[in-house]
Amino acid sequence: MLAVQKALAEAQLAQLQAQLRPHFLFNALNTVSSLMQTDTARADRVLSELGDLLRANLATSRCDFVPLQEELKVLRKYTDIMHERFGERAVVSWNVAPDALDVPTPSMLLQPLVENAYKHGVERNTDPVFISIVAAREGDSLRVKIHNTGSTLSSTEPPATPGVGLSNCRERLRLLYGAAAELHVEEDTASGVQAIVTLPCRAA
Amino acid sequence: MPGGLIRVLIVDDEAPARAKLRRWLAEQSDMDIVAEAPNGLAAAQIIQSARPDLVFLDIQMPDMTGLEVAAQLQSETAPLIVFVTAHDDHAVEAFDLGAVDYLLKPYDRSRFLRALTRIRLRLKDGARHAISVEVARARLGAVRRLPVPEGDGLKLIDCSTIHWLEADDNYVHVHTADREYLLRRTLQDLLQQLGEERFARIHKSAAANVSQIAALERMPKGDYEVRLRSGARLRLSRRYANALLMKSSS
Repeated sequence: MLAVQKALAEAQLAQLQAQLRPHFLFNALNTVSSLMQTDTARADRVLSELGDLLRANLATSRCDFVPLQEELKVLRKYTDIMHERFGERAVVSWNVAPDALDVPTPSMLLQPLVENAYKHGVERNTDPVFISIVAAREGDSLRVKIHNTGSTLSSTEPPATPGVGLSNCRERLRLLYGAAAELHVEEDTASGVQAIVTLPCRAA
Repeated sequence: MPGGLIRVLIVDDEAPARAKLRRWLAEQSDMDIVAEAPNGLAAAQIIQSARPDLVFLDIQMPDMTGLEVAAQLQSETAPLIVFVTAHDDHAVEAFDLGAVDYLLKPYDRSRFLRALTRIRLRLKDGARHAISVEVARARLGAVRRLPVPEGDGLKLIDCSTIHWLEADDNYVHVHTADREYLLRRTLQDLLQQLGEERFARIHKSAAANVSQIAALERMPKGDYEVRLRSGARLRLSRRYANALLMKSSS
């Protein structure tokens, strides 16, 4: 048991380190710096969102599970900040079934997947990229799909950190749920990439 | 530019980042913002057509990074480049070594003004701007993609699709399987960027993609010819024949 806990702690630490790339933070801060000159209310809002996001990321190690609703709230802060940076280059849609909202979810599990959608989709395309986040119960499972247009699995170049976010996410699922949970990443026919997390509706 | 305004191009794929630079540059009486570009390809095109004196160049952008934009500039005629980046990685280390100007995001007004002071000095003493181009080339290593003219704009082609290059004064004809593109570059400078391991000189005014060479053929009078996979035959001057023979046998 101790070994599992240690492995979990390490996986979480690795995930934390992989999260919120410094690149994201510096660019977000530069956005605030720009907004400060023209729209202080908006600058204020982005700053407080950034604060919430950092707080949620730092709290992860202390609080393993949160209702999906909480996880999505944090994700929304992330996508809001990205909206300030990229404007209409990213169009995000949310489709969450009401009965999925209270499912216990490992905290900050989904953020790296949404980060990937921006990193490989939005940041590499000049045309608008569509990101959809869909969550629903399927029997005793929760299924969350994060889809983005404008990238393929082979187009993730340069392969600087190939799938750190993904492998951490997988490792965490394995440690928490064993074989009962999985992360599946696939290309779709409409030149996009979809990450699907399936996990049991009970807390592990 | 002497006595006149410094003509500036702002390049960043994030609108707020462009707005910040635009606002602060507009306060400077000697700066004239001639254009803004939201991606690398547009930046490369505007640098060609508008010939700015100074470019604030973001590094991470879709389709072409700031380093790729800098690397494909003709080094002798390149504008002064200030890299603007949120990167915390080795790119910045390379800048520190050389005399390359850069701004790290987020930067404040005093850092911005300090950079401008340095920039004005550099522009005044006519120092070589090639250093940014050289640092970018060194950082990137062998390039994979090259921007070429297409219609009113530019597009990227994969360097492996280039068959051979033909100098024409200050221009280079880039021959691919089915097209020919004209670049305003010297062959010398383009070869330096493409890497002489992959593109070999065959005579004073031509170079061939080594992987496209099918055979070297000796002609009756002791001259050579290069036969490309496409079937094209190109003259190989004796001066370059030995080096090429050694390269193809290794």
